[in-house]
Parts: sequence; structure tokens; C-alpha cells
Amino acid sequence: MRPNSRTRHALLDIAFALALGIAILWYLSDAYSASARISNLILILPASVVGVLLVAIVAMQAAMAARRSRAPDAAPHEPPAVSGTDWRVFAIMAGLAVYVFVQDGIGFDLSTFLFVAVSLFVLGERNKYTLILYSVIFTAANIYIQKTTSYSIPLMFM
Amino acid sequence: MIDLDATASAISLLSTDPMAWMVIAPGILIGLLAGAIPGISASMAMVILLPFTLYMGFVPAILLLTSVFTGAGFGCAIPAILMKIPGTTAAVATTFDGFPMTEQGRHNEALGIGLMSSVIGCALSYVFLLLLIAPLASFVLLLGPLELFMIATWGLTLIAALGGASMAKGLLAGLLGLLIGTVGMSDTGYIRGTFGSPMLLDGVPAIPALMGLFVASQLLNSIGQDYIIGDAEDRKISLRRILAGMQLATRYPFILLKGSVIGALIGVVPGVGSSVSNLISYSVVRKGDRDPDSFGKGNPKGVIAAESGNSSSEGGSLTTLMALGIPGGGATAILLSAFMMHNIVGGPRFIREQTDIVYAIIFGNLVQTLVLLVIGVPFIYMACRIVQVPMRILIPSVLAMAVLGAFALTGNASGPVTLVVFAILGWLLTRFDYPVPATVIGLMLGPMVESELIRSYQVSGGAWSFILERPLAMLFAFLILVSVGGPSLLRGLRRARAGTETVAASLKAEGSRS
Repeated sequence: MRPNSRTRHALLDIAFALALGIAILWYLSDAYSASARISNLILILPASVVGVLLVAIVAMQAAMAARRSRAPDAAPHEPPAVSGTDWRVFAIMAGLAVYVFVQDGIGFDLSTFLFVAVSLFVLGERNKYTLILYSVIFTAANIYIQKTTSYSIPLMFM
Repeated sequence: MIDLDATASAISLLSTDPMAWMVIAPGILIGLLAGAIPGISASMAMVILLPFTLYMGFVPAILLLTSVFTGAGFGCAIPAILMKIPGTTAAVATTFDGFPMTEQGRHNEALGIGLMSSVIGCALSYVFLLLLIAPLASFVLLLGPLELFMIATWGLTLIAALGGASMAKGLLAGLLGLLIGTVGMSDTGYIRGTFGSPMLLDGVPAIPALMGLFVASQLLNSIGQDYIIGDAEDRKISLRRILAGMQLATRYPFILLKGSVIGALIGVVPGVGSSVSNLISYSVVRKGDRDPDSFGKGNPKGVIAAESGNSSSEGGSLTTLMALGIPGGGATAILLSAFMMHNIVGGPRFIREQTDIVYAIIFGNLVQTLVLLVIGVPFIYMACRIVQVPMRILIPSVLAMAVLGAFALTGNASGPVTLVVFAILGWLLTRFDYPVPATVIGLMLGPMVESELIRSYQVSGGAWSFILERPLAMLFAFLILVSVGGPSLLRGLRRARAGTETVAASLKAEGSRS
């Protein structure tokens, strides 16, 4: 990883730690608005305070790592960088979110078939028989198991 | 310690009831499957089987349910080793060295080691149960809410200290899980962090969250890989290597014994069980090893410690159930229901008056461990085939199964939505080098930590000096300090020693020049 991308990773690391800190503070304020009694805040208040301190430590560590990485004799440490992520990760993540949000509308059978087929394609499967046949068999088998073991699930065809 | 009359009576009870033997193999197989599929736990499989036990005698009923428990105790290690996805939280520490072994093409050996360690750990825990049921039960009575709070916090700090390069990130990840675990309506009736949604009143659905954090985030991170194991030669499945792994586990009897004793002792603590025993056993063995840095990189001793630790907690939890009538977790709560369905009440009187039945259950469980050994080998031989499935097929299939499983668990959209939210969180945590297992353990222990802390506050009336009256709580508090401060202290000492050696070397060099 080049120094520029290391600095970018450190900045993203700090941003993520700060986002966690904000989430912790929001949760503390929400709990405080529910009640300020000890029985409500006995764990949440001290845990939040420690959490915010840890966020500060993590941010400082990331800033120091970025500074060290700019030094000419820096070791070639390769942290995983969000910025260099395969686009397929975001595609599958988005596909998973869409799959979950349309299940009620178009049924588990159709949404599962579409999710599996599209994901296979995104991940590099180009054989159309595998794409369609595998998705159909996988969906049918899983929906059958779901129907026999749990109560009603919304379906379009099966 | 052993009542010989009751032993003879228990053997005759088992030998005259063929049903007691017939239920073991199917129970083990169901347990292996339930443990191996993320999102399905031993307790879920046991609940499904519970109505069938009404038509059985008491001993076969309990043996069927404990067979599922035993099978699942090892089943959860299979995806942990092969895919870094623990089937349940009991196998979190198994991933630390199990998955690196798989990546190195040693999956056959890792599974063999896991199976043998589980079998020996489980068998040893029942031997402890046979010998020490009464003293172990009195140990449980010494544990009040403050001790339970301390034990849960200790488990959490251990996992935070174990994973990842930064201790601060480990603690933050654990704390995040702990806070998420307190979302919803508290024991004292306050509603926090629900965004006004009634679906979150009971808290964040734990199993879909776990599936999101482990399953989805691990699979998303695997995108770009062709197979779990890169080298085609290493993907081979070999019965010989599985058996060699099993043999390798037996070469470390002290680790097996250490893991089993820790597992059995932690197992007797209600509410903590196998998840924490798995971590504590791993951590203790790692710290005591000559080369602790080799752990987390595919050291077989890590798998032995983790698996003997979680499997032996089964015997410990059964001790609490039989001797005190207190269930330690979901699986033992279902066993308690089976006790009630047969009009049997656990407790000192049960141990004293029906010792033959207690022994029959223990002997039956010892036989179960042998059956697990026999069924486990072909089962893991089949399970190993997962490393030969291309990732492009595996990723969408497992994700879709996780979503369907999450819906089946909650019965509404909250399960799948939780899975997606936690999948993204888990992926981000992994990308920024936070240990995801710490968040999961925090999430699981959060409600318990808060309620035990509230109980301690109520019992003590808010007086801090209360802890001084509880020596066991002080011991656990000391252990928490050691697990948080110990690694930093050791690093500091190593640095200081390295600094002294450098200074000494430069002084020596200067001396020789002059």
C-alpha cells in the first residue's frame, strides 16, 4: 500500500471510530431520556464513558500509524482498505438489502431465486444452465424446508 | 464418592431399556446437523424433539435430548474450522486456530483434532460429574449476582484481549456488543434504543445479529476468492488425515485435561456456559504455552483447548441442573422442561433419592461420546466437501439460507433486516481490524451483565464495600484486571528488556572500540 492510500485508510479508520463514538453517545442520550435513575444507567453510563475514551485512543492510534507510514523507512504494513474494495462486495451487499426488503412484496420464492441467480452472475458464473437450474433447485429445496419446518412465509408461486 | 449400589442399579436400568440405546445415534446426528448449520442451535433442535419425549421413559427422554446437546457441541466447530463461521457462539475460539489450519490445507487434521478434543472433553466432564456432583453444586451456591457479573465481564475482556492487533479496538468492539445487547426494554422496565419500533422491545434479535456479524461479513470478505482454500492440492479430503488429526489431539493430554477442567467448572455457572468456557480455556492454554505467538496462526493446541473447553461445559451445566434444578442456558432449560414433563424435580433430593437415575444419565452420556466418535468421522468427511465448492456458489447459497433462517427464527421481517444491518456492521468491523467475535460475545452477554449488575446494586443497597465481602468476586475482578492490563504490561516489559539489551550491546561495542 502506498503512503497516500495508507493515509486514506487511517482517515477512514478515524472516521469509523468517530461514527462508533457518535452512536454510543446517541444511545446514552436515548437511555438518559428514558430515565436518569441508577437502575437504568448503571451499565450504560459507565460503558458509554469507557467507549468514548476507547474511541479517542483508537483515533489517536490511527493518526500515529498514518504519521509513521509517511516516514521514509516505514514497514510495508498492508491494512485492508475500504477504498480498494472489490466492487462486487458492494453489489452483493446492495443485493442482500434489496432481497430482504422485497421479500414481503414479491414472495420468498421469487426473491430467493432472483438473489441467487443475480449473485451467481455478479460473482462470475456465466453458464446459463448453472445460473438458472441451480437457482431454481436451491430455491425449491429451501422453500420446501421452510414450509415444512416453520409457519407461513409469503410466496409468489410455490 | 461413587455409590456402588446405585451404579449397579443404573447399569441394570440401562441394560433393560433398549429405547435408551436407540435414541442416542439419531440424537447425535440431529445435534451435529443443528450445530453445523449457523442459526440453528442445539436448543432449537431440542425444542422440536421435546414433544416426542412425552411418549418415552424418563431416562431415554433425557438421553435423546442430551445426545442432541452432545452432537451440537461438536457440530458448531465444523463451519468454524472450515469457513470461520462458528455454528454457535460456543465455537468462537475454535475459529482462531481452526480456520488458519484450513487455509493452510490442514482442514482434515483440524476437524479430526476438534472431534477428538470434543469427545475427550465431554467424556471427562461426565467423569467429573460422576465424582464431584455434590461439591460442584455447592460451588454454584457461592455465586451471587456480583460473581456472575464479574464472570461475564471476564469472558468479555478475554475475547477483547485475544482478537486483533489493538487492545483498544478489541475492548471497543466488545463494549459495542454489550451496549447493543442492552437495547430494548430492560428488566426494570425502561425502553432504550428502539427507535420507537415495537419489534426491538425484546432487544435486538440475537441469532440473526450473530448470523449477520459472522456469516454475512465473513462471506462478503471472501468475495474475490475462488475457493476457501486456494491450492487445489490442499483441498483434498482424506480420511487418513482426519484420523491423524484425531491421533494428534491425544498427544496433548495436559491441554485436554486443562480445557476439560476449565470447561466443566465454567459450565456449572448458570447463564455463562459454553461460549465463555471456550474462550477462557483457549486463553489459559495460550498464555501457559511456551510459544503464545504461534496461536491464532493454525496451532493445533488452540483447537484442542477451544473444543475441549466448550464440550466439557455440557457436563458442568448438567451438574447445576441435576443438583440444583437451575438451568444454565437454553439447552438445559429444555432439559428442565423434560424433567417437569416426567414429574421429576432436580435438586439435592433428586440426587440423594434417585442416584441410580442420575448415574444412568451420566453413563448414557459417556456412551454418547463414543457414539459421537463413530458418527463424527463420516460426518466430517462429508462436511469437508464444502472446501471443494467454488465461492461463487457458496456465497449466495449461504447468504440466502441465512436470510431464510433469520425469518424462520423471528417469524417476521425483523430477523432478515437485523441480519443485513449486522452484516454491514460486521464487514466494516473486519475491514477496520476490530475483532467481530468480541462484539458477538458482548451482544450475547449484554442482557445478563446488566441484570446481574442491577441485582448486585439492589442486594448491596449501593454500597461499594459490598465487593470486599465477596472474595470470589474480588478474584474475578483481579482476573479482569490481569486480562486487560496483562498483555500491555508484558509488551512494556519486553520492550524495556529489548531496550536494555540494545543499550548493553552498544556499550559493549563502544568499549571494544576504545
